Amino acid sequence: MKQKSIFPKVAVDLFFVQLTWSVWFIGFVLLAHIVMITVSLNTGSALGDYLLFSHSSAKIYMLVIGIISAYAFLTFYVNHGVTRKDYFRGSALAAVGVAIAISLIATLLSGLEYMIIEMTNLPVTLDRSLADGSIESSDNSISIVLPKEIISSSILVHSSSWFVSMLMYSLNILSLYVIGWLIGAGYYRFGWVIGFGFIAIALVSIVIGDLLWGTELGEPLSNWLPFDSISLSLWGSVAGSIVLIGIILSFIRIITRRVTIKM
Amino acid sequence: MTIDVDVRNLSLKYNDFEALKNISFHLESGKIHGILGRNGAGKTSLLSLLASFRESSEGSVKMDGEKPFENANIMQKVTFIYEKDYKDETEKVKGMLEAVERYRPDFDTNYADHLVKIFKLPLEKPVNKLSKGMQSALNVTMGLASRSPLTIFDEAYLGMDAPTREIFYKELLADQSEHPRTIILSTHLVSEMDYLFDEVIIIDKGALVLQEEYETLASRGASITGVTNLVDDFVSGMHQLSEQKLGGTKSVMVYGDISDKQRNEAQQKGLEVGPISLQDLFIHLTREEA
Repeated sequence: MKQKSIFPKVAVDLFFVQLTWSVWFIGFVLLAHIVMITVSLNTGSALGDYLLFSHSSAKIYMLVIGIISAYAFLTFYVNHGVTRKDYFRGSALAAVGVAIAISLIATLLSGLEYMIIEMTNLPVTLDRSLADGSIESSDNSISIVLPKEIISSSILVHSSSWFVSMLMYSLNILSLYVIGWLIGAGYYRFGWVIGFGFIAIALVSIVIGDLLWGTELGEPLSNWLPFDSISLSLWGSVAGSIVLIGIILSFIRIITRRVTIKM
Repeated sequence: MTIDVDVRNLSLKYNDFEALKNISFHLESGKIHGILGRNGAGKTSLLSLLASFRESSEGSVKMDGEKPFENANIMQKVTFIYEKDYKDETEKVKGMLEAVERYRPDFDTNYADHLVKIFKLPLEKPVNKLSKGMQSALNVTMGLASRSPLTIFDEAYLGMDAPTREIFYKELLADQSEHPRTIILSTHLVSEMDYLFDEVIIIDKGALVLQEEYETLASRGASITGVTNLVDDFVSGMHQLSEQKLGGTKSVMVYGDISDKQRNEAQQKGLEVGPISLQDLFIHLTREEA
C-alpha cells in the first residue's frame, strides 16, 4: 500500500516554524523603523518606507535562516522517517511560502504606514528614492531596476506596481534563502574545509543575483568584472532570478540526495 | 504490524577504516533482537545503515523485500532511537512528542501519556534542560509510542538510573506482547537485558561473530565444575572460553552443544554442569587476543 506523500505536511510545518521566527524578525525591524520615523520627525529628514527599509535586513535574515535550515531540519526529518527527497521538496516549498509571507507582511505594513501618516498628518516624508544611497549616485545610463521600479510607483496607488514590488521583494529574499541553504547543505555534507568553497559559490550567486536586478555591485570581489551592472527588462530579471533559484535548488538536491545524516 | 530485515554482505568503509566487514543476517519479524558488541564494534554503524541514515559501501539491506534507503514506504516504518545531542533543543517535551505524533502513523497518544507519567517526564520543560537520564526516557517514550514496525534502540538507556531502566525493560516487554513489532536493542549492558532478547547477534570489530536464538545460545554454553583433573579430562576437545581454579577444584566455561550422553558422563564423574550467562559468553567471544 502506497502511503500518501508526506512532503506537503513537511512544507506546512516548516512554513509555520519559520514564520514564527520571522514574526520576531519583523517585530525587531519594525521597532527599528519606528525609531527611525521618530528620529525623522525631529530632524525632518526623509525616510524610506518599511518595504524599502526592511529589504536588506530581510535578505540577511533569509540568508541566515537558510543556513540554519539544513542543520535544523534534515536530521530531524530523516530521523522521523521522512525521505531526503520529501524533506527537500517540503523545505523548498516552505521557503517560497516564507519569502512570500515576509514580503506580503512588509507590503501590508508599508501600506499601513502610508495610511497612518496620511490620517494623522505627521510631517514625515516617506521617499524611496532617498533611502537607498545607490540611487542618488546612479546618474549613469545603467538602469537600476529594483529601486526604480519601486520608486516609480506608490505601491498604494498602482496595484500592478504594488504586485511588482512584492514579487521582486519575494524573489530577492528567496534567492538569499536558497543561497544560505546551499551553504548549510555544503557544510552539512562536506564539513568546514570544503564548506568554505560553498561560501565562495554563495558569494558568486549573490553577485549574479544582484546583476540580474541591476543593482550596483557593492562587493569588492566583483571589481574584476568587466561591467558593473547589466540591464534587463523587469520580466527578464524575474525570469533570471527564478532560473538562479532553480539552479541553486538543484545543487542543494544533488548535495543532499544521498547525504549521511549527522547523529 | 512488523517487518523483517535481511542484510546481505554488508560492508561499510570510512576512508581506510572498515567499520563493517561483509555482514549477513536475517532478522525475523515480530521478535526482539539483541545486538551485542564492544565499544567501537560497529553497532551504531550497522544500525544507522538500517535506519537509512547512511548508505553502505557494499552489500544490501532489505526490509520486507524492499530497499529502505530513500524509500518513503519503508522509512516511515523505521524508528531509530539513539543518544541525541539535545544541548540546543529548546523545544518542550510536549512539542517533541507532538512532532513525532505528526510523522509516525502508528503513534499512540494515550500510550505516550502513560509513558510520560511513569517516567515522570515534565511536559512543559525544554528538552535541553532535562537531565541525561530524562532525555533518554523521552527518547524511549518517542520510540515505544511510535509503535513503528521496526524500532531500533541504540543504547537507549544511557544515563538512566537502574529503576528507570527497569521501567523501560518492563514497558518494552509489555507493549511488545500487545503490539508485536520487530525490535532491535543494542547494548553492552548484557547481564541486565539478556532476558529481553528472542535472538542475539554478537558483532566484534565490524564482523558478525554469531547470530543465535537466545534460548539456544544460553543452552550452548556451560560451566563444568569439579575436581581439577576430571574437569580437564572432560573438557579436552571442547571449545574452552575460560577457566578458574580454587584449590583442587576447577571450573571451565565451554561453548558448544553438550549432548545428553556427555551430561550423564559428567554426572557420573561427579562434575557439575551449570549454565553460563550471556554476559560471560559475550565477554569471552569478543575478548581481545593477548
